[in-house]
Amino acid sequence: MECEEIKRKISMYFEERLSELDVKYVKEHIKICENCRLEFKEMEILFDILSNHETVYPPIDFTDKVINIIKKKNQSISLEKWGKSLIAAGIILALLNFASIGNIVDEISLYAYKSSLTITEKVSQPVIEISNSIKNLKGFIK
Amino acid sequence: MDEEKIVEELKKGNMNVFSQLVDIYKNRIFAVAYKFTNNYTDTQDLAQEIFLKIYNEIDKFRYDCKLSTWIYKIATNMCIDWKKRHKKRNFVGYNSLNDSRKNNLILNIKDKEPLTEEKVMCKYDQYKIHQAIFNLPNIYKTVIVMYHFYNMSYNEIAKALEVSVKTVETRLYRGRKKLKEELVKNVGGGDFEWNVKK
Repeated sequence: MECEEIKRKISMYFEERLSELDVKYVKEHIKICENCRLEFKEMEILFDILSNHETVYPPIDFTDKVINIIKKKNQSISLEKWGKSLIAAGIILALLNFASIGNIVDEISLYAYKSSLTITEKVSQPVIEISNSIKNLKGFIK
Repeated sequence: MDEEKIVEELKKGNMNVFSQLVDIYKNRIFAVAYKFTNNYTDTQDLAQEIFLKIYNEIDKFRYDCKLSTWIYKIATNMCIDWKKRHKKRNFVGYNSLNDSRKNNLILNIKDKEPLTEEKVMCKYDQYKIHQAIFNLPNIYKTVIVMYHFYNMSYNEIAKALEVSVKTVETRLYRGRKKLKEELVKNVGGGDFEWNVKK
């Protein structure tokens, strides 16, 4: 097995993904190859570093903070929903009012129409009568 | 409680179950977020954002992978996004600190007590290791973090990153190689037991 291939297998060795046969090959190879032996040692240390690497920890109240943020967001969402509901209710009421105004307008229009008919009747009737009288008068003169 | 039941409760908005979930994942998510931010305050904000996203998007979880894989996928993507958004930020390097500040950072963190920012960066070697991981390109850092810190399998990483298992293998191999070079460059020669040639 070539050194490059062994180097790839060294990673797999520490990941415990090698077959027993390959494990044997790797172990035999590093006995006789200094470069691969160094690679093996370094990889061993790297895996050790990564599995034991200590790092930062969250503050003690981290979970409470996250939960509080969510609760606050939920509250503001429900308030927002309330607000939206109120706005929606207002719009509906306004529409209803507008609809009733519409009815009044219709009634007014009808009344105006009827009134106009009466006015027309009352205004045009005398004109018609006068016109007829004039016609009669013309006939009489002739 | 099995995973299905946990997800069911989370979808119902059960805050007690969510609180338990935060407790389970917070250390790992926090540690990984720190690998991307290199700043304790930013890490707190980022970790909070990650958990908020998990809470808000739990309805989208379709059981096509383990819950932990889904959580780590969200966390990793958000860390990468954060890094992109803060690309131009200047980070304070260890070498730019004065001696007393350096001494403050070299603290023992063997006990797992939650630490304040002053106590955060522990031993010199640990800090150097952190810096080496922090300096890795995202493409390698992501797989190293998923494999070594989240203990995800090749298949889980491939699924989370939507790449082939072979790609995961190659990225891990190259990432470790790069990390090794970085550590040899920065840590070798100190009291850290790295230089095996000695």
